[in-house]
Amino acid sequence: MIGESVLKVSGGKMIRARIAFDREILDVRISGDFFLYPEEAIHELEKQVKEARSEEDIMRLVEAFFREKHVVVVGASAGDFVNVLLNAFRKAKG
Amino acid sequence: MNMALDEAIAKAVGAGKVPPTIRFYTWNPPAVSIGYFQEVEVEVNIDYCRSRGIDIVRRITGGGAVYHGPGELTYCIAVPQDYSLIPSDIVESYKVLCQGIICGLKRLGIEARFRPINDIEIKGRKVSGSAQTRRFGAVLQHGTLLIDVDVDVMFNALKIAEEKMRDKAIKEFKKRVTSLKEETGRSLSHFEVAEVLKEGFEESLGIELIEKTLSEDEVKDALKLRNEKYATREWNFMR
Repeated sequence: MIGESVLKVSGGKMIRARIAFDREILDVRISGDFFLYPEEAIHELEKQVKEARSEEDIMRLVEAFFREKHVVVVGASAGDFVNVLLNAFRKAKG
Repeated sequence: MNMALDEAIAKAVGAGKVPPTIRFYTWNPPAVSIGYFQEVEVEVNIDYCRSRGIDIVRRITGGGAVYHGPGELTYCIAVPQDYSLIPSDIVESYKVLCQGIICGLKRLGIEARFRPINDIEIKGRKVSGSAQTRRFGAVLQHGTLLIDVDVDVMFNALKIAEEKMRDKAIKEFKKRVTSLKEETGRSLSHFEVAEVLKEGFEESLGIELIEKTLSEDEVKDALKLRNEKYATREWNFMR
């Protein structure tokens, strides 16, 4: 199943998460009009979230990603990414 | 070609091959540019753009989708990452660079102000948006300034609102967005606007801009980038 969640963060930026799930996460896509530096880091974030097995994993992986990879997000926060990914994950699991 | 040129300039500036650069440009044919993280199918009416000969291109910068029509002027600034006039803090640097546009608009008798993170507004209505990246040893910021707005084409090209909500969305858009034509009551040429912006950047940054053409290397690199990146489906439909 595919779960999608869209979050409009205060300030107006939009984050969209889409997760494909069938007993495990098959695909993760994060998109939107936020700013993230360096930009290519988004691919690494998607790859890491794909390895998650649970909601706790998603929280841990996303928070660690923003803490350890020296990624700067402007117009949203690490918590916003966690929320939108968790919502998409719950929907994908049905 | 415009996105290829911006990247080629940023690379040349970052490598110290050319001085810090400001470029003003328009788009022919018109185009929709989408932010690095955006999904083209979510943001753009692809069929409409194809039928009207409107290009679709992904930027290397984040931010939202922009329709670059005949009533729009785009600017690009590239400076070395350690350039003393630009703060290392990203939000602060948006403010400093947008000040050039604000100073330029003042020369047209327009009082504009910076709205964090990346917008410029006039009496609460947006007239300009910018996007910045930091790579190749450079800070690259490019942005759009609305001289006049073709709301119909914009709403057709971008998926701003569903068909049934369009009238309401257009009304809402007109409340939130303005143009230089609306503010000054006259039609301004791209050259006229580029000239005041040039003066605005000179004033706000305390610099003197010297008009120059692109270097041979920049043009060569831009052509390569256009062919191998910005004109490819792989890049534009990456997400």
